[in-house]
Amino acid sequence: MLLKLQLLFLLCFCCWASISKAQKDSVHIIKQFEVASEVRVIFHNQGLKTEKLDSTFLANSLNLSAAEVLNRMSSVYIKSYGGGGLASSSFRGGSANHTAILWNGFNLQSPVTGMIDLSLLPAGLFNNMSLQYGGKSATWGSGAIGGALHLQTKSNFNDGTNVKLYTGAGSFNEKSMLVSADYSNLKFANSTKFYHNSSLHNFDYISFANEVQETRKLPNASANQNTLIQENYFKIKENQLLETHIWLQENKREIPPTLFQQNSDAFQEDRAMRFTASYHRYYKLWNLNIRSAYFNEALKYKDSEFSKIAENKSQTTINEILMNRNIGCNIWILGANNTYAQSQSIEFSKLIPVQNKMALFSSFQYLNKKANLIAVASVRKEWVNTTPVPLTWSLGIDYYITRWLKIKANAARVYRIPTINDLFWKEGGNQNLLPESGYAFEGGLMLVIPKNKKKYSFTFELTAFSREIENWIIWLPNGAFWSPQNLMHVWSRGAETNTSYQYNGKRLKLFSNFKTSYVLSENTVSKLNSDASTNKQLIYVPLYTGQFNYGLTYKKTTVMLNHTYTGYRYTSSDHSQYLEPYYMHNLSLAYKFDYKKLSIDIQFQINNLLNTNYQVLTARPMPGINYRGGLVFNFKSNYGKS
Amino acid sequence: MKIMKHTTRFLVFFFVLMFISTIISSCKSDKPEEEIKPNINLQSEHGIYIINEGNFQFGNASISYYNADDKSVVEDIYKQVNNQSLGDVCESMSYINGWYYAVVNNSQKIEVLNPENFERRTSITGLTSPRYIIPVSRSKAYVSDYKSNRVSIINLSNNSKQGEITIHGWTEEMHMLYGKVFITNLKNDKLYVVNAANDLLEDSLVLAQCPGSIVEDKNGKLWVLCQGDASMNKAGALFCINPVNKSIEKRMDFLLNESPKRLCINDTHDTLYYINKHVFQLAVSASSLPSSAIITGDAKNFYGLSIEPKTGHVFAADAIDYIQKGKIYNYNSKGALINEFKVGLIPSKIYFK
Repeated sequence: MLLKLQLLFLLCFCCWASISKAQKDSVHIIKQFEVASEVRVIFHNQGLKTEKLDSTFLANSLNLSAAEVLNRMSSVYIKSYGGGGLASSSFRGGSANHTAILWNGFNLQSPVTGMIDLSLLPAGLFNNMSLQYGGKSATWGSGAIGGALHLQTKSNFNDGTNVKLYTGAGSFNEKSMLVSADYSNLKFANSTKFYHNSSLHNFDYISFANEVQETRKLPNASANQNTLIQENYFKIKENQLLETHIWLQENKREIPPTLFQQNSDAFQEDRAMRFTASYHRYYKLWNLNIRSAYFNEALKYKDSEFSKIAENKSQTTINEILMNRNIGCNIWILGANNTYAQSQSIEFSKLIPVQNKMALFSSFQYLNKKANLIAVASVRKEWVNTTPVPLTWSLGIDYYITRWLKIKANAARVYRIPTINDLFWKEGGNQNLLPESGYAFEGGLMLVIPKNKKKYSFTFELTAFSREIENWIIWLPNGAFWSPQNLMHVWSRGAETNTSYQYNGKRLKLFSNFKTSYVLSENTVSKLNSDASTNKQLIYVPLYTGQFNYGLTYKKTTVMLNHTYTGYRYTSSDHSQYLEPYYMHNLSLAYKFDYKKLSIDIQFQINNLLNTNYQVLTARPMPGINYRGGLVFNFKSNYGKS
Repeated sequence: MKIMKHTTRFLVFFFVLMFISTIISSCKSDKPEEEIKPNINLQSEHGIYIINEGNFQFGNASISYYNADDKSVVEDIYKQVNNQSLGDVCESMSYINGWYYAVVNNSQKIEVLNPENFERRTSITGLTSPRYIIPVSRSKAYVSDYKSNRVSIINLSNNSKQGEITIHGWTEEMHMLYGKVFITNLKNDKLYVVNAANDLLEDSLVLAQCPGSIVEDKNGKLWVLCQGDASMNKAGALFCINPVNKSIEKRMDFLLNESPKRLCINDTHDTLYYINKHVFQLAVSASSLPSSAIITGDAKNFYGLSIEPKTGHVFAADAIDYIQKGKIYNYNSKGALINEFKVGLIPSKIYFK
């Protein structure tokens, strides 16, 4: 699917580049650019494995978080505290800091912690979610070591009014609501979305906190989340576009006890305000994009009624200029980025630590004459507080042996600079830390067989990868405090498969997707004397994971099943402690019908179908079988459409 | 019958996949190796119990048993006997009225154990974050606590909480002398004095930042080790205190970047030991801190320290990276290594039978 999309885009570009008179159809062109509002998301993926999350699945996942969606749909391993708790991602044996999370091309990774809590990203608010596996530091800068998650919001011009209302309820007193209102005419497009989710997460679990094991309801686990995204697009002239995006979010949650704790009264509050503006100008052969963002985030945590509130705040300003030029069928991108982040917390050794990153980057995408080879080369030079970071680069190639078989290869230099916590944490922060850096390689093949006038399609993708990171930062005791040190050298390697089958009949649609992943990720140097962890799989990196999603749509009814397998995960670095593997099964049903201009979708989900007792993180209770139901009303009016 | 055709194709595709994935998954087993468990025999006279804190919130605290006669280690005796994890972060253990009291900090409980076989007799609950337990009479004990701002009073006859004494901060180790209980505090610079007869807070002494451990020497003097807090720009110090008139008799200061901990004393109560990255030793008659260590802690992470009463041997616990099994090193009183053995995660306290 993505491949087709890519080729289509490439074609559009070529035609557009050579036949500049086609400017007449600029409406059409701008439409294309909306999808590709961040050109680097769509292009310059050569040699890397990319995944676009299935839209049928996303449409039935309006009340899920990005963490839950990735857990079910992708090979990314999600470390979740369960319920409404923190969830972070691990791409190919990397850490949570090794995933770049990008919202329309702006990096959301916190300058303080280097990560973002995926449980706070409601999947229903994004039009597209896609994944780039592999090293992309040369494109996205620090942190894009394991991969990148792209969250995209978009609007089309001249689409009239589109109102969507989702309301849902589920086990554990869960209530969710999504309201989305879009309006657009020829010059202006506007979209407002509001999402609310609250749940007590008071599911039954077996507690080991008391003398006798007992089944009880999880206390202190409620979560309440409100998110608003507001977006405007103005077509200033036929070849000029201005976008503004606002993302306001407030999340309050209680932190439940572990299996061995009798109770907990901890709570956490997360707030975020994110503003972005982007100006595009399309010339005959080149495009200009000037973009700015301001992120203001705050986190409050209180461990118990006896402790003080721990608080940190951060403000990030991003300014970026991006140009892409078409040279024949080739595309050249040149850009500069300044990301200025500051943070405040009484836990820091400095009053207001600052991370000022300046980057210059360029990439060139080449298409050969036979149009069966696309290659891309990227370089990036970055300075952090005026200290240069080693030059990063990547080189990727897609080669179509035949129309249905592609081979791909990518090599990249990757890095991650230390976070503000790493550097300035009062007790142990280490200002002499070096960036983590290394090399990532991957290669593979992709088979696409569309036949029968595309009535059914079969794709198979096999990817093997290897990545070595040196100066991997780890917090270890050092005298009085824990202190981060550049001590580990981690070699991650493995293989992934992704197989899909689709049948698109008139009445019947079948779809299935099967993913496997095998990841070996080991520290190869000894940290201390008598260290038994050397050359052993890192903790919380499963060797084997698999996802199997399949279903059918018959007339108005859709049935989907999701099965995932997670292998052993070690919880001690010498493998003396571990968590048992588990299978998870989820069922989702939907019935869609139209009533006048209203399209109504009734959804029902059963999660953890077999009531499996499992642990994702050690001693963290997870819910058993639970249910969710929802109604989607979609109203569409083509008023104003010419 | 198109559907049939496609379903067949689908199934063929599915089995091909299963085949491929089987091949792939046979390349390396992820199943951890099972450890061989030795039989539990706690009868040896030379038995040593090691308290392993375990990771915070992992629920993997454990007690290891080391038999010095045959140099064997039994892991997690509590779980093997009681078929359940000891809990989350076991901080300390005390021998009171013929029973072991194991304080499990983040499980908010104290387990009362039969010393013969480590079977659980009962649990004391209703605590916030218990750290240490000390008997103050035949029927009463005090429990320090790191976040409730209270010391709990336990009725030892029915093993339940019967009251509280408000003391602000993180109360840690305690020592009783002449009817007074001296209580250290890791949140400020005070040593608190509680009258054990009426449970009233009587007095407090200002020492250095973070007093954490306390011992009594052969002269009936108290020694208190303060860890210091570099983030507050306050260095640690070792104090010798007269418990009767509550005056400071000696004060020895550490440097700002040092974090001394785990003060302990030998059986004859004339030699002190502590960890300051390395293991140091000093006589109770000394008037200044030793300049050189008796045991080097380079490339180690010494986390616990104890002196064997009978032999004067030094047992030091290495927690390594905190997320793998720790090690106990056994040195003679001069600091020469005798032997070493592996125990559970984050070994912190060592008790001799």
